[in-house]
Amino acid sequence: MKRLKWLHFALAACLVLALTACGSGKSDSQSQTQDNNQTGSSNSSKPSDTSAPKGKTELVFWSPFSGPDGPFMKKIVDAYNEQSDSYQVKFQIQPNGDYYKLLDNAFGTKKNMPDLMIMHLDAIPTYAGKDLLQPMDDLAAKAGIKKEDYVEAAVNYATIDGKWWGIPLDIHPLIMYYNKDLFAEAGIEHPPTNREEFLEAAKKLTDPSKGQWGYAVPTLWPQQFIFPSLIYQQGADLVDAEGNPNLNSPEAVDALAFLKSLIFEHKVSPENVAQDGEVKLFLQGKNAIQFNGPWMKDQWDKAGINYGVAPVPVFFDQPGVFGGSHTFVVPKAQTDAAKLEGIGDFLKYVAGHSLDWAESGQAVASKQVLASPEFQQLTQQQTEVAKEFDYVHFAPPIPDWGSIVGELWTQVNLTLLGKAEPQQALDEAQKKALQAAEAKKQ
Amino acid sequence: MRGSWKTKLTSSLFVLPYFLCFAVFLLYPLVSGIVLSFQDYDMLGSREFIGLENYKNIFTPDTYNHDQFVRGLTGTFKFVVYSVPFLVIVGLALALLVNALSTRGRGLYRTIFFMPYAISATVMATIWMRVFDTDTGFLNILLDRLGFAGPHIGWLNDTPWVWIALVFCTIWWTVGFNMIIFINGLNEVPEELYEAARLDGANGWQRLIHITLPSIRNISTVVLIMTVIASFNVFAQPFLMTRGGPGYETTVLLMNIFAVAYGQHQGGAASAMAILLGLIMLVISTVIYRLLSGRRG
Amino acid sequence: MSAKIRGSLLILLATAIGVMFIVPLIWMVTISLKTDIEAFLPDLSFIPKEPTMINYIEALRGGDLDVPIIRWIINSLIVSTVGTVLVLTIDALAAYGLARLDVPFRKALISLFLSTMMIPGIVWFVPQYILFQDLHLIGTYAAFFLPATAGVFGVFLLYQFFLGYPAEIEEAAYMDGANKWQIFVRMFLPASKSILWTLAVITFMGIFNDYIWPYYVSGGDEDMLTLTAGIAVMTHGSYVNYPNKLMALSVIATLPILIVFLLAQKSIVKGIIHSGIK
Repeated sequence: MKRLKWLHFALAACLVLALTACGSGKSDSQSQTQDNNQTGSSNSSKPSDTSAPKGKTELVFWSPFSGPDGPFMKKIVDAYNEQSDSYQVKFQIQPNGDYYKLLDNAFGTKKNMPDLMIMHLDAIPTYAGKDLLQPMDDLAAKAGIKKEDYVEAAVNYATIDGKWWGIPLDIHPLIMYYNKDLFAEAGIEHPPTNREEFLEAAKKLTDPSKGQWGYAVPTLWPQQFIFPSLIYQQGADLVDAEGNPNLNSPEAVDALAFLKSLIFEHKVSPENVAQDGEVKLFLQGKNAIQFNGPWMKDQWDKAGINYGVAPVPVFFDQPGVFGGSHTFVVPKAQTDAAKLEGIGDFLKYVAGHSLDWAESGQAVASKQVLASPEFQQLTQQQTEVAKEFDYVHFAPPIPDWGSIVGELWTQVNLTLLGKAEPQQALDEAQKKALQAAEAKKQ
Repeated sequence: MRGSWKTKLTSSLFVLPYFLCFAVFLLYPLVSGIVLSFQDYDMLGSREFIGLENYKNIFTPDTYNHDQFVRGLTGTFKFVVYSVPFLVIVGLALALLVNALSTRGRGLYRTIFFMPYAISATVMATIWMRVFDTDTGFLNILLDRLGFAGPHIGWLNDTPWVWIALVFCTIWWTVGFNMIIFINGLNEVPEELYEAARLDGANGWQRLIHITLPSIRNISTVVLIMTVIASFNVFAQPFLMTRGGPGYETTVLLMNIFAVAYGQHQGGAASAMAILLGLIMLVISTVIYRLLSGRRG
Repeated sequence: MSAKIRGSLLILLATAIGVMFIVPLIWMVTISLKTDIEAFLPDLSFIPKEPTMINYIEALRGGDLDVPIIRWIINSLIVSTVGTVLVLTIDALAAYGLARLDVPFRKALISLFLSTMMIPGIVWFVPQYILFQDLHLIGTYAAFFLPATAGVFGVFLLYQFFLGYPAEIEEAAYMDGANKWQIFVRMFLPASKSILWTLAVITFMGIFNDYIWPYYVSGGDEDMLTLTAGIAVMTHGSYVNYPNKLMALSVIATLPILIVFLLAQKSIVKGIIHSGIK
């Protein structure tokens, strides 16, 4: 009878439920450690051991590389695993946008922690400040890693209170991309290096009747990289000497006014550029210049754009760019000596073999790789990016800085959309930044 | 029916399985979440009981949490007001349209109107950003070709166009859900009622007002309340497509709640905001429910 | 106006609206068939000049990361199906109890269920995760669908539906000696086939499309991800998007739902309900 069939179905479902609650169906040791019989089974450092082949110590490594750069890191990890007899790195990629949520969750619940992870350099003050990370000094010393092996800027930033908190993988500063075809058409021989050259070139490259623009100004991302760069070029910063927000300094106002003028005065940019609008225009050959990060390389390559790479022009007094950096950090909770040794071993390997990472378009932080002939021979991008290492600045090392400057980007957005004036906008941003900082003190 | 404890017991057994799942997997975590709103939790393991502090902050003007809450609530509220009427009415209209088609056409169009509901937020945003982008978007290019002079409209960063864009793509994305439930409701209306009305000389419009609408009261309650809840919980569309812009015009409360939780690392405050949002929704939904609730049988 | 003209006008209207609905989806498919170079061009032209299946082939092979996408598809199907059956069963039982039976504290329960629907998920998301940790359910299939069993929507929907059924037929059945269970199984369930299928589709889709929760509860085991969660890794890139690859993955992720919906179509019919409750 039909009714009984329904019941049978439901019963079968319950059976399946009961079965599936007991395990994932995998026969290897991984699933056994997850079932009900073992207490503390969710602590990652113990179960992982048993699933690594040949008695190798397993190291769980988290990264946010959920884009085209993921496979490059995977190559490095695979190569390392091949040549290592003692350690096996288990490489896990998390969705880029949710990475810190997952990380915070792991820290907060103290469960499912990785042994090693990537963290953005400017997030280190937040997590080191909360005593969640482990200083790398001992680990580095044992593995023969020295601070001098890496680009100073990144190492210095990651050294807080005399302790070294993160070993850098790469530095990704703002960089200039330009469309070589459009440049050739307009008779421009080399990419601009300062404000005058830039304005001259951009104006030559702008032709609204063809829908072509010299430099489309983004109103959202990646202003987070562009706006601070203009401030650094004036020898100023987003914080004052005491580390308080200083978002409405005269230099900041000048920077914002300059960006706004590109749209409304010099008219080398269309108005109301939406998120990624300038990228889309560049991909269609309708935007001649683009300021973005090295990670865009793959997209330009795939789209077949004839692009050139060059350092960001000096619009103000001195060279300066904003940059980020991917850094390796270890959670404080990681106390297993064997694992720490393994992590050191792996990081030493990466320092010498991160050429694969460079192929993703990033400029690596390891001096050894930077100096190698193979790196020099890579496409132009990496070497141009590396040129900027001498004057790259990172975000102020203030915990939760991102949250404090949240309003800044809103105000920059409003200004570039023509809905606010630079001075008022930045005053408002400053007010809200102080408010956010105040809220954290409570 | 006898009201003895015996029948009450057997009746309870019907509700028990669901109640257990509800209690364990929803109620218990929910209570934890409510408790969290009375704590200072930095999302990273350290927590401290602080009583009503979080709530007080939200109601104290000129504090970070207060501004985040008010701004977000304003954006969310606007979205609710702009979107809910359309989502419900268009849902009903599509359901009526589909049911009025011949049996052959019905299945096809039902599928067409429902399918967008199946795609993920990222894909929806990717598609519609390609349509609404200021200079490379399909819509503005079409308008150009049609001879529309003037600067490109900033569908994603200019008021009021940005609301039109957000509401439009929300309708495209989610109205199928409302439609399908309305279809079920419409199917329950006994054919005899319509027959009798036709014999009495009522036209289509009169049949709609006097028979259809009253008959689908129960189901309309579901649709209306679910739509209100969904709109209050809006996150993906403004976050992915407009980033809450221009400025903070389309910044919705859920975006700010996440910012407070993971940006400021204040899980307790975020929880408090979410609970306040829930209470607001509760009040509004209760009003709707009272106004619309049908009788038994 | 004759029925025929009316019919044609309706089809015309439905088609006009239908075009607006389906064109973006067709667009999605055509983009997925484009090569990288073509994918970024402005596409007022729909048809790719060099259509290619490469995006699908790459996706099904696991992309550049050798992800176990087939395994993910199977995971998603298992988890969504089991979850849907479970949800339908307990929700129908509960809705019937609340709508038609003398459950103690009936009104209080209904209010409780409805009020919890109002609280945004973020309030209980992390506590729910911690609960699953404590129950040692991380990394199991159960973790993927158990949260869905607590969902109030299904109960609410069926409750409202069951409220509307005429009491007379039910009373007659009682007088004939039927008990609650028989009335439920032989009268209410068959009469609700249509709404049950609707709820089934919606529940299936809800579990299938969730991509955040599975990431939290997979316990780091790459094989124990669902399709949509796994795809999120391939599509939520570091600041870049590849529309053609994204669309190909999306088509793969949407097909199962489309199939389920089409299967359910046959049951969402305009029935003669009242004579059906016999």
